[in-house]
Amino acid sequence: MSTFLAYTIIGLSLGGIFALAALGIVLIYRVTGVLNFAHGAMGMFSTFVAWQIFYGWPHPGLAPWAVTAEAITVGLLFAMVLGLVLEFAVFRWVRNRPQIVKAVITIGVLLTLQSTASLIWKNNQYHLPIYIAPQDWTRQVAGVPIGANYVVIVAVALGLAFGLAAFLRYTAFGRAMRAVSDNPTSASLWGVRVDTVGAVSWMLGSLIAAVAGILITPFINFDTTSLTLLIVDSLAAALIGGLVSLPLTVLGGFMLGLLETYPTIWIQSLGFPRLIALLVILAVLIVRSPRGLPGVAK
Amino acid sequence: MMPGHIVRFAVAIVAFAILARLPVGLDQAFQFDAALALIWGFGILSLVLLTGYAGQVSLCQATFAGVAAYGAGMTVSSMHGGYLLGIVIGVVFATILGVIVGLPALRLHGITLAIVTLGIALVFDRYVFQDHIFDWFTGGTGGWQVTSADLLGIKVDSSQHLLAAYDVLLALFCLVSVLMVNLHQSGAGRRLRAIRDSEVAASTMGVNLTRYKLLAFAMSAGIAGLGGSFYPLIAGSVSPQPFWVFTSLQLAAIGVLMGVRYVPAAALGGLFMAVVPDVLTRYGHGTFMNRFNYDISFDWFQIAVGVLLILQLILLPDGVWGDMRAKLLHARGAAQRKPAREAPA
Amino acid sequence: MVARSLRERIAVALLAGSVVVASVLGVMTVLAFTQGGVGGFGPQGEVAGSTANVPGGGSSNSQATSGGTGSSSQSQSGVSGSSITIGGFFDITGPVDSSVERDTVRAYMQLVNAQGGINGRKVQYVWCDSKYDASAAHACAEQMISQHVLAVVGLTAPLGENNEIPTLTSHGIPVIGGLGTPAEYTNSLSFPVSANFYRYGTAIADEARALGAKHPAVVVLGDVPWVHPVEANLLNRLSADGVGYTDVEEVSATQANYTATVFNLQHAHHGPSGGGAAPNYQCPPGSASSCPDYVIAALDPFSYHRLFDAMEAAGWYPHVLGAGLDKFNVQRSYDKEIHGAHSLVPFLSPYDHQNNPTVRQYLGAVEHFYPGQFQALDIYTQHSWTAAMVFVAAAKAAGSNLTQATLIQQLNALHGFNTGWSVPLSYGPGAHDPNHCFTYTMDKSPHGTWSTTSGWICS
Repeated sequence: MSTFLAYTIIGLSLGGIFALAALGIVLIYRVTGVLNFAHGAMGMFSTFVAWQIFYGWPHPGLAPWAVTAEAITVGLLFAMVLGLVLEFAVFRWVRNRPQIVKAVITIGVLLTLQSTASLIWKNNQYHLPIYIAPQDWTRQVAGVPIGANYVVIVAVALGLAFGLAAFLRYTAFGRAMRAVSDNPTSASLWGVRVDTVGAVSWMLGSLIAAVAGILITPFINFDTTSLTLLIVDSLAAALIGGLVSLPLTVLGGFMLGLLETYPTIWIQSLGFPRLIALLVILAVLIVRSPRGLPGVAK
Repeated sequence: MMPGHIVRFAVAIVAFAILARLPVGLDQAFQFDAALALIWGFGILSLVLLTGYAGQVSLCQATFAGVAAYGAGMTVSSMHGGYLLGIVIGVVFATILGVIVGLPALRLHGITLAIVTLGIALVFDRYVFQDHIFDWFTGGTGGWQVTSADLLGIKVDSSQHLLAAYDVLLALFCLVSVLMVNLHQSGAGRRLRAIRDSEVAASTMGVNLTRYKLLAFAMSAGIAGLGGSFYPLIAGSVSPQPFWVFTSLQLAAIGVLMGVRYVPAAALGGLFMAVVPDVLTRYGHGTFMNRFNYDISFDWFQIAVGVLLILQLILLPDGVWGDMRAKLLHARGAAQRKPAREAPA
Repeated sequence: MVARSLRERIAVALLAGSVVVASVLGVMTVLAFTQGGVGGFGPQGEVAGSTANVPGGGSSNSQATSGGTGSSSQSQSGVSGSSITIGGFFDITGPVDSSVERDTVRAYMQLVNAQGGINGRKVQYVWCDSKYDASAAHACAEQMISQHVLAVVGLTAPLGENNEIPTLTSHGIPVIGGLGTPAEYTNSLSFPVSANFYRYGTAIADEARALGAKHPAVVVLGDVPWVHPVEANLLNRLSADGVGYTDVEEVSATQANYTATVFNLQHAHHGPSGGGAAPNYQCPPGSASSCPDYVIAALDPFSYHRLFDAMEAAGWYPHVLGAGLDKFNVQRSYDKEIHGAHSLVPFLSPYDHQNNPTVRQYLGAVEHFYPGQFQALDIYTQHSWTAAMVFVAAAKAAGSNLTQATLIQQLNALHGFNTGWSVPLSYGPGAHDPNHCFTYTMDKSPHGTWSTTSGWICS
């Protein structure tokens, strides 16, 4: 029984990571219609920028928490610039193309970002990640340590989910974003500044990717590919939320984490959880496919 | 004008004759690259069929190649069959997987199909190709080792007889290319294209969606598998890394970049994927003007692919080859006063 | 929308760019053709370096990779009037980064060149990235062969080197150094400098008993091809030594999160997946703080870091006995869990032998030529440095008539070669296994310093 409880805790920790990673994907999809395969890569790049500030350069005379804060702030600012650049250089020009074309473009973005990061920071894996809270702030629950960093992930995931959902529904700008994603042409006819909305959407998406990246990297390998490889699990969680509902996405993340962890009690395998993620994806898509996914065209 | 298919065969034979002798003077590493170029060329060819002709998005073509590679390796190393049998079994395995992957495709389109195929690529990459449960299939962490093989009397292996391997692959590639172009012009090809253009319209016209979609997936997987089944022979062993997720993404990216509707694009793409990075890393370092050290690594190549893909999708949706072709036809059409038909080269 | 004429202009520019790039590549390829193709064309396209007798051309430039396709500047494999070409491949891109091992060999060669080279010839080092991928390793081996290297020195490719040693030696290329994989010890053209990993298993088990470990848990890297016999040997030896182990975890080099692994080490009873004795001790309930008392680990340097992070998060600090445990820079994050940890190594630890001449030369050269790599030095860079030493000694002994044959002859003639930081190495005809000995180092306070706690223990 205590093993089961312990694995539940482990599963929920994994799920929190999926939830946070999936949130950004769903948000970008909802407001721009682009399924961003490069989401993990964008987050990774911003995280590396924050890393560079934190570990790469000396900070004489600054308290550790101040260095952390500085690194994260710079990382987030960079993320916003990255989002802006991507929107301006790439996504602005393909607004009216079919979704699959936009998704393939994100593959190009993915390859570019990943290789650029690899050139700058090299490919090895001993980059020490940035910890928001000290690593030894942990509490044992059922024999499994729960760290403060993990609690931060859950809090941020929940906060972002409900906060963004409220933003999209109740604020004027949020409504404008939804209008643009539904139909850019008629939105512009209604006076919505499509360009501005697009820019803000991508900045916001990139920001969330960076937040996810910084919070998640302590729990996975900190290198140029690991965040991208989370994509299938994030997509599974996103699909549980129908690619629309942010709170359901978070719930989906936790569910997926549990579903992936329980079988490892009996099956010792590193790859088996990916199979579970795929089965979940298939199940969700096939169950929903007669009605289609809301907002998925074609 | 001579009948189309005769022209195509003639072109294929001439191309084979020229290309077969090309790597003769090159060293072993380049011969290895040339053979690898053909294997990935098969992968892109399979994408041309599946995405270019039938309109089905797939991000797991390298997985089909990998399944065939492991199947061939398993046949030769574990079951001690001949390599020819290994190739057949590899292709069969890949085709079966293709049909399985095609099943969800019957109900899914576009983005959702892309997601599912990506998931399949990842599952095979991380689980099937790496987990101990599948050791009977993968040969364990070291993978199957293949030293040499006898293909109908031609000795082929991964070090002394690479050129022979390359020639066999080239012959097969030319053959499959011609067959694919024939397919494109045939009735089946028209039905596939109808499915690509509009499934609703196609089914209204009486095209059996299920049959043709599954056929497309099966053939595509088989083609990718044909290339993949030669992999153990060329490399001497099989491992999961060449067939991982990012290879599938690269195949898709380079396929789209070169023009996923056109067969010659596959050849270009294969060359691009296998030879160019190696040339860059071999000759791409040195000293510039005796002061600046430069080092062009594989990463630069990837960046170039990514940027070119983005540019191309924004500006030239038909790919490099497609655009050149369009210009050629446009010029020819202007001269002959005929509308340009959509026909592959 | 972009204007159509602008589109066309950009399209034309792209096409022109591709044409330019293609021409450049074409020229490069043709150059390769002319430089490399002069040697005999066999019917299967073998580049028969041995039959070519092209006078040494002036085409080499100062970069270490001028070997190119080689035969134009070499009259015999790897050796010309003024230069010697050797090579190696390393897993650099991917989960493990062995670039520091490459740079260690290069540092040694640059030191040698600065002192006049080997009998007047400068050494050039050709390297290839095998990307933690067996097939890329094969491609690299092919490159070594194509570039007519005299020898492969100091290669470090955990995933690929085992398969490729026969590939290289079947072309007559001697391989010096390596990690300790089985293939190095069964080939007469392979000259390892370190202990066989198999012996590590025996030695660790014996040391566990000597240290008084009662109920260890074991964690090993599971995804390298040759690990299962080593693992089986370790577990069998533990059994034979009367040490009952509680659990064995097989982890992957790419596995990020060790939370579940640490949980299992504490509570589970998994056995090995590839053969070896099953766990034969179960910790009684309620003894979690003292059982398992030891963790025996055989991991790569990066994985140690993750294991220790997870142990720290769990607040679990058993004693640690690790093979090859001592990566300097990652150590900074190990913190409490490594106090008193024992490490098993076949070379003297540089940290507490700073006056040892070999150590001084090693640290000095890397600091001088590759300062950015200094923090990454670890046990495996010591392998590479030793391999470089062995190569240069044999090459110098061969005199001005240096060929693959005379090099191999001199390598086999090495007896009692003193590396300065290991037992003396001796080779001879047939397969080689020169280093059977380990020493134990221990992490002490001030934390982060390692000290040697034993002399050579040989088996």
